[in-house]
Amino acid sequence: MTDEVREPTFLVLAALANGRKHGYGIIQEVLRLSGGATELRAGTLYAMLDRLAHDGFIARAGEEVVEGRLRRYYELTAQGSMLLATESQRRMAVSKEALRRLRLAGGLP
Amino acid sequence: MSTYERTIIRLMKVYPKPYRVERGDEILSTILESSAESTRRTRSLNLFDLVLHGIQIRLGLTSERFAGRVLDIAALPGLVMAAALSAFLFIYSIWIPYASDSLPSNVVPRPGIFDTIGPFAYAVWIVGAIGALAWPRKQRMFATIAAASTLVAIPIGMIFFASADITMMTILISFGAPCVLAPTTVFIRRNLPVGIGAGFVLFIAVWWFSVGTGGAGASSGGGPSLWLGVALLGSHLPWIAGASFTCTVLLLAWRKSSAAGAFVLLTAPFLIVAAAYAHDENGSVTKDGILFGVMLVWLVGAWAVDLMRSKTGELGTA
Repeated sequence: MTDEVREPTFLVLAALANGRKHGYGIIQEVLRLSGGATELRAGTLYAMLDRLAHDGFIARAGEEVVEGRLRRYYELTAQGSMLLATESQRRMAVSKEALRRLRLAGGLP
Repeated sequence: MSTYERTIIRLMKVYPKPYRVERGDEILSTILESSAESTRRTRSLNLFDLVLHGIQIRLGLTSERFAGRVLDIAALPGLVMAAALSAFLFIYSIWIPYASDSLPSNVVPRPGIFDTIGPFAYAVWIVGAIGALAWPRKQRMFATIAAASTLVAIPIGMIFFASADITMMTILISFGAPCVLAPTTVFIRRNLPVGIGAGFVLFIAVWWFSVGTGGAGASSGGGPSLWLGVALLGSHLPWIAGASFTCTVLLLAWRKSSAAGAFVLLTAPFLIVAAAYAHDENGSVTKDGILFGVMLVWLVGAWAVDLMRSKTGELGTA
């Protein structure tokens, strides 16, 4: 994935940063991380999971049946962790620079 | 089992069987869990999203497949082309009828602004494209609303209005469809200038140039699509056919098969209209029509081969 990481993909990777999660767990975590701005639908989520798995950034991490329903878990691979770290640092650098410029321009109190 | 669960299971038949067997229970669980406290609107959106994903999987329209990559590339230029064509037609429907009084009505038809339902559909596409660019996360929603409004406008136009130009409506939907079906739901900011530029260049090259220089005087009336057809039948059609074919071959030689696919997909509506008029005029398939046919056969063939090649890749196993 050499292109810029899109926001929903970044949020899914970030949701998996602290351990494996199943579909609904990822949806909840993405909603929380985005401050309620990104509510993933199941179809969109699984399209994204398929793509990330195909590119080797996530992998399946077991499954269990809870109250008669199948939960399949996903986790970041080493490659996925690397992508998330690189993208996070890139975004952080952009944010720091933006804040610095705002301060210089007197746009921040 | 609730009605909602039964509906989900029924709708999941949109997925191909291998995918449904592999992922069906998991997706069902996720939807049911996420809909436990959701509103009716959210539940409906979940079902729409489910069906769309099923269609994407069944037709190989995912990011890692040929057709999905083609749609991802074509989404933004297609939306720009739909907006540009709508703007042209909107002006045409408002301005031309009154500005062309010196021309006989059978040369430049004068539908009048509210005589056809066209201006409604054109306005929806212009607003939709602006909305998709302003709110990139909602690009699919804007494109879907525009396409659905145009689809609805076709029968309404046929019943209640005169001279509804179905060809133009179909072309608009063809341009917007990649944005509705593309697996990637957010435009990449870095690609915006290239995508918008490609849309305008394609529109100007294939549409504006043809209509603007083709000589509408040869038209015998009937609306913009006929105008386009007659214009393309002038001396420009062989040039457009040759240039389109050369562009496709060059992109393939450059190993940009997805870009070549997007190019063919976005020029196809114009080319089909042109080839159809050429056929009507000559009574037989022209060389231009054969060139367009070869391009379309390549696109459909590459899609079909890719669809058949991998039956397990779509299961999403790492």
